[in-house]
Amino acid sequence: MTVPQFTADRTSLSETVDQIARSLTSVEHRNGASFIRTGSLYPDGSSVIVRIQGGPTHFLVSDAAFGYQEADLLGASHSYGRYARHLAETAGIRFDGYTIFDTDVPRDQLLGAVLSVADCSHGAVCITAHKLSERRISDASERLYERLVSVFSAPKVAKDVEIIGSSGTQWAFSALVGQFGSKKSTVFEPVTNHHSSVAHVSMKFRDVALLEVAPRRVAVAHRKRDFGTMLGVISQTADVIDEEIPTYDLERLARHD
Amino acid sequence: MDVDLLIVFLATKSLPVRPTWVERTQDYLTLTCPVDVHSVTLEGLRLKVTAMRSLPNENLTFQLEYHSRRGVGGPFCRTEWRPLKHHTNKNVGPAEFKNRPIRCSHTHNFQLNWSHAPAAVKRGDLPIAIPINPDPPDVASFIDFVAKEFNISNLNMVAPPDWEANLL
Repeated sequence: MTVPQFTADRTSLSETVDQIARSLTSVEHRNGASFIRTGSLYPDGSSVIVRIQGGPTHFLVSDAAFGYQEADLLGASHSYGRYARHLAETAGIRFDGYTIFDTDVPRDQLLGAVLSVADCSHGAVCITAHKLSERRISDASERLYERLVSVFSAPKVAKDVEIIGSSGTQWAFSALVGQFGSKKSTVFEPVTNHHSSVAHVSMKFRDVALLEVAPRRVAVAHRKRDFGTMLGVISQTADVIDEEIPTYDLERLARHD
Repeated sequence: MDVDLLIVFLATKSLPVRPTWVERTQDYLTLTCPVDVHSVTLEGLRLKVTAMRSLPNENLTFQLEYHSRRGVGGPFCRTEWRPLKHHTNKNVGPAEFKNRPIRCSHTHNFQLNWSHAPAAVKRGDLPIAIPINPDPPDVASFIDFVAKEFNISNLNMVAPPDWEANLL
């Protein structure tokens, strides 16, 4: 990384950064409430907002249910409630099912309360989005299992199997076709084009590939062409197929043809 | 078989029923409605609109969602009128809006997000927004804009929410 230098006037950097820092937040006042637009962003890129009401000595600080709205627009308002409640309790503030808030906040604690409310709202939405992403992986595992059963029949397909890799680490895989330890077994695992998913699945497959009698490894993508260069990463340790691969090709893979 | 979101987005759509607002909390209002494509009410396709009663004539959000029977769905386009929350594109999208907070009405345009990452759009992830220019001056104009943006012929069936100030 090359750091650009301010050679002529060192104050330019500090002035620029001061200006950016001042621009990180903004405030709007309306209907007897004040809204602070914080520098944090929810996962979709919208700013985290904290509402302040009351005064002059004690204040009500809340996220005005904007965190709930974010989760609701993601279709995950129910699970948001669980995470918001937990984070709010941990921070010593409250959650009423929709709004994260702190009541009777004295003036000298207002800054901390604003930061706590913003942090809880932001954290709860981030966890919700992350869990939603995990659920999508879980849905992919379920679809994969159903597909394999329809092709190979239930007795030949094991779901949610644990395999101990060459390092001694125990790994979870979505499905195994055939008897583990035989040369004809094939292990299947869904993968998304997120770097973390590719890295995690590659790591599991690499460790299993080093076993003395290694199963064939197949990574199942929703659509390979969405992977770009990451396809080359996952294909270093496994065959990669599209979820909608024709049945004939799937059978051929599991037969190790 | 999942629907092709690109085909759904481009198709002329309509609302099969007149939707009504639901009070989720004293302040948070939502409206959801199934959506027709070529006279068929498509499984899993719906319009969702949200508003805050305490924020009249602002903070109105429309989005189209698709929820596959086989998995978790989400929004695939979204439009926000006078949002209190500013949106910031990260280092993605049109060059003139990269890493720039958008402080006005904006649309998470389907085609921009689809061109950027179709897989993300299918997950309900819409990181790219662009300002609506000119900013619709009233709610009726905004609904007209959304009707064109989402290609929903009778979106004017959506009534504005029952905004009331000073509920706080």
